[in-house]
Amino acid sequence: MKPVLASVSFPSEREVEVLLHNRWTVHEVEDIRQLLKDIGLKNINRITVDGSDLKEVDLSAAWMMVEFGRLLASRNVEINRRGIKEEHQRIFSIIRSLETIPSERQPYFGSVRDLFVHIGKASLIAAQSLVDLQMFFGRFCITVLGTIKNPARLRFRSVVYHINEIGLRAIPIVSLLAFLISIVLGYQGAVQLNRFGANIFTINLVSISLLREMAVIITAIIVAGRSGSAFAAKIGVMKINQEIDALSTFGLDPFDLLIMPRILGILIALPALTLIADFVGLVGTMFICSQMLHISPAEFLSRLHESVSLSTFAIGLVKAPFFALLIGITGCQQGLEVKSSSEEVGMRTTTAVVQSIFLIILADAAFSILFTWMGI
Amino acid sequence: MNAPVIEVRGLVNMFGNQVVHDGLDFSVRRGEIMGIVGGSGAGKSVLLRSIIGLQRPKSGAILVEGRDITRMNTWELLEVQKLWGVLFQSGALFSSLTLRQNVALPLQECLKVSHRLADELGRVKINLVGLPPDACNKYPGELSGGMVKRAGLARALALDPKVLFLDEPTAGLDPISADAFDKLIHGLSRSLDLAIVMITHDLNSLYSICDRIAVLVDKKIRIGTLEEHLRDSHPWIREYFHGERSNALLTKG
Repeated sequence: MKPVLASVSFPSEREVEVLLHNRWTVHEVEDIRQLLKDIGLKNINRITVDGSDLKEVDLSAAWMMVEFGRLLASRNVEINRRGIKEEHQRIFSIIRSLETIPSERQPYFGSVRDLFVHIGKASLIAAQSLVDLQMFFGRFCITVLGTIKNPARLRFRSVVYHINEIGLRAIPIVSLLAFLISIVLGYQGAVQLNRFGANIFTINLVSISLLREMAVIITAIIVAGRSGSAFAAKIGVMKINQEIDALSTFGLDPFDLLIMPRILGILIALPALTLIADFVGLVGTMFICSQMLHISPAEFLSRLHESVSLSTFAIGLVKAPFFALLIGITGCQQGLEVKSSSEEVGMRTTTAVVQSIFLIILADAAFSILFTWMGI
Repeated sequence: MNAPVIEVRGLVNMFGNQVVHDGLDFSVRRGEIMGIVGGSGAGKSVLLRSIIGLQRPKSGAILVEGRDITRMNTWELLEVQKLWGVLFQSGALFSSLTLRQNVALPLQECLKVSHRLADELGRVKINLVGLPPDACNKYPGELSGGMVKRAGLARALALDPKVLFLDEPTAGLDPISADAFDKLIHGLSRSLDLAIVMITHDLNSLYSICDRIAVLVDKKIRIGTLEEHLRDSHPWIREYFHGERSNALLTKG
């Protein structure tokens, strides 16, 4: 049962007397609003407020009462106050001393014009991000050239650290996924090819698609999710903490210290991980072949030797450094784009991962066309 | 005026084997401003975090309106935490919300106040701490350090608390803003009968607005007015209140 806020009485038809009770605090604001609204709906020309029984009033409730008083005053209602305690008076006077701000209403729905403004702004931002990416790439190339000229600029320890983070630590998950993917492919392939009595071609199907496409793509996507996001988040937070600015004040180039080691690290780690994925994938294929098709490992290896040329293997591996570059550059660049808020870190990290996966698949398509054209 | 709002009895805090607080006893009364000082690592922040229930003490009791918060379960504690407002050292404003949304959020979430009314009440608080009306729609990232502190105070005041905890409210502010902030805090405490507990290294605020000063030293707490601390013979307290910075302020004032 809620405590009574006020007893309202009507001495005459256009006169109201309000005796305030109990506590008027922020916890009761919705009830207070209802009460004041009810009084405000009456057609009155005089109101008497008695605060002698009021136990407590806080700023929020006081503001509502003062606002209500102003509303009544604008309607030429005579307001009498009596018995308001000293300590409550102080709170009312704080509220009265605040300047009133006209309340602004924000429209829930914009106009059609807003839609075009929105599209325009978004296009400009998209165009700008393309320019930013190129600027970043340009500066990265300059750093690479500078490092070739002066190899002492390279932070070797840092590169090794990143190879460990990006490469070694990803080995379990990459191996597991490569194994599972090869089993899934092998299983599906065997079921379909069985209809033509061409069981043995499962080896061709799985090993070629694995070596040419699947291993490198799966690895790149995992690394984009694991490390591309880590690049963006780490560099973004460093940016917020002004750590990047601090580096610059020592005359140190963040590209030398932060970006080169990461991109070099991923350039070494991703092809290495791809190799591991290739190997584990083939082991997986061998496993499913021996389990489902009763092809012995020795038979599997000789068949593999016949059906897969070195170029198939090389085509998969050659893509890895390009994918690595895409992941590294988008991750680092998105990180550097963070300006001030922690929300941006989350947004930029998401963008880094989505963009790099998108670019990886786009690049893979381009490679396919290129290799077909070259006749490999 | 004299009823204690918060009472701490025999508070002990430990990290591993390291004792931070060894039996602290003190209380904070309505309408008073208590400053907490202490050297780096003396456990000021730990004390604050234990009082506001962010950290459970090893032993001891913390009574808020007569109820011991160290014995409460998580839900009871959340209910009690609505009684106070906290201004964190770096503001801790929610960076994805505008200032007005920052202040309106506790009203909407804790009290089920309607969206519009919460917005209006939020604007009152932003106005109260002396921020211009156009600051309402800005994001914390767009504000200066002084404005962030004021905005943090506005949010701390959102639920009209009886007790206010401030962690270094004037740190990083220029002397003019710091003075204005001190005046604001003092004015609020006097007119709303608020109890204010503030950690501060600002000797100016200690001397001008704190009614009592709690010194954390040797894992214990010593509470007294400025005059009492000035007479204390403990070496650290002597150095603190009779150091060059302090003397410069005292002789000027």
